[in-house]
Amino acid sequence: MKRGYVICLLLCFLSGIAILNADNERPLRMEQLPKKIQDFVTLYFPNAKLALAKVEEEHFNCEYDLIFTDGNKIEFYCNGDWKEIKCKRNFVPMEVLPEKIVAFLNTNYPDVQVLQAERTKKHYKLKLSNRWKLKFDKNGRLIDVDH
Amino acid sequence: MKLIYRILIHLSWVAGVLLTLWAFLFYMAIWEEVNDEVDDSLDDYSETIILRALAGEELPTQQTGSNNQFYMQAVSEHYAAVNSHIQYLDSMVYIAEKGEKEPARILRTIFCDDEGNYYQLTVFMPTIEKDDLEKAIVGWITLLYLALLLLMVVVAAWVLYRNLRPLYVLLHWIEKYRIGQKNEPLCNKTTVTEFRQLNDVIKESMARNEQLFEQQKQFIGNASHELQTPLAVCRNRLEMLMEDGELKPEQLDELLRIYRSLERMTRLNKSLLLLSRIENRQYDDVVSVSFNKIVTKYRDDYEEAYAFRAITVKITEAGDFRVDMSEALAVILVTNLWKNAFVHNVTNGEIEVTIDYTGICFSNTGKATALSDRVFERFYHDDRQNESTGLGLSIALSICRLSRLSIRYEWRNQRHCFVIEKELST
Repeated sequence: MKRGYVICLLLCFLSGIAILNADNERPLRMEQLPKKIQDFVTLYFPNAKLALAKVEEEHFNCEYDLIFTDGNKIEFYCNGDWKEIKCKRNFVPMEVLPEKIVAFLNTNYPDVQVLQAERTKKHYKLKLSNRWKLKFDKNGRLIDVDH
Repeated sequence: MKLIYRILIHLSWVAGVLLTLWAFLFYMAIWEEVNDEVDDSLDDYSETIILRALAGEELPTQQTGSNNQFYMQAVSEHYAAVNSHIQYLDSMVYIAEKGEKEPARILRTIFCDDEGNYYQLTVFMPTIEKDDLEKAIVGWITLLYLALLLLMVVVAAWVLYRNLRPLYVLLHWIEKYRIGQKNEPLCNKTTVTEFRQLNDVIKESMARNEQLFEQQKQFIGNASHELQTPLAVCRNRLEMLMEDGELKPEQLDELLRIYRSLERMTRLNKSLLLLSRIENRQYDDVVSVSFNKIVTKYRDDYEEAYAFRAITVKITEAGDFRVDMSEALAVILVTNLWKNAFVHNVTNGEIEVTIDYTGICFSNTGKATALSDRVFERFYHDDRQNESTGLGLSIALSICRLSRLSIRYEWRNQRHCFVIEKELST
């Protein structure tokens, strides 16, 4: 009985540790990426060449990191939604952003391009080519400006 | 082993196993965490360099003052195809600035540029020395482990002792309890249900024992007492019948046998009565009794009675054996032993009585083999001797018990010895 308990406890501990440390990085080729991500890349970055793609797996969650040969970088959530787009030589395609934000940008900053975009569950953060940083809530309302 | 110690040993054992396990897992977790952090930082570093390289920006200088270093080299397509594009390694690296080797975590990333050329970027960061970490963790864990164990044992001991006190009170009370004597009432206040139950059950059981003991005592006492008169009447009638001159010799012979049996029955009854009186503690006239006097006093009586067997009696007095007990009982004890020594002797045998201040020893010749341990049991007969009731030695034992004496049998130098000594304890 007592021995059973001890073994049980041991297993619990070990599985706990295993889950805690299921944290590793794997390189991926383009065709190994989820279809959604492949489609996103071919749609918005048709000429981009992949320098390195990897997946970071961590506690039941994962994140895809794509680095392109032109120095652009896109991060994706596990479900294939984009998380962060950083562009160095070109700009973030407007099509990936919600219409309201695009409309806002067109009205207020007509000549400005988006260098970096990041989205979380609640916010959109943009870095513009004029070095302004804008923060929108999920409904596309501007809530913070920084420069 | 005391219950408390047993529980403590078990507790420390289990705790020891669990803590050891925990220590091991803790060490693993720390090590993993450290690696994880280092890996994250290496990953960031590597990514920054790759992005800069691809964007054609200026790379960070080789020496940033920290021990982080990187180098990039072009590799063949084949190399890129064969090797994993992301590799984490633990290795010793030579740090030029320090001029010595240090353990480091290495990240190798292979990537390709716009023209399809492959490059391998190696970044590394000196890590903590595993041995040092191990030593530190083992040291601290051991310390923690000992402290915890000590604390746990102390707390457990205190808690157990506090909680088990009613049990010990009860045990102590049972130990002191003597059936048939005046006992102090059990005073064991507790709010614990189990202990209260135990108290009640024990009290009840003791009361029942007491009652049974009393009943049994009364029964034996009454039975032997009530038998006395009818037995006497029978004997008298038989005597009268035997005095009748008209009986044939065969009939007279038969009557004589009946008379002998009756006599034996009377003796038995008397002995039983005596036993029950002793055990009822009716002899409580305790005085300081000198066994030397009693032994000498009754020697002649028995010598005369058994003169026909020509037994040599020798008394050696090396000291005065004095006991605080009832004198009547002392006499019964000594006469029983005298009688025993004479009855179970052989013709031309010997009896030697040795007395010193610690005890008294009756040794006599007799049957050439040792007696069984059961000699002190009631109605134990060795060879179905008619004269013996089988109660003499159990009376002796009862007397000794009552007077805090010990009696034992020994088979020594082809002699049967009965040794009486004062009980050492209490």
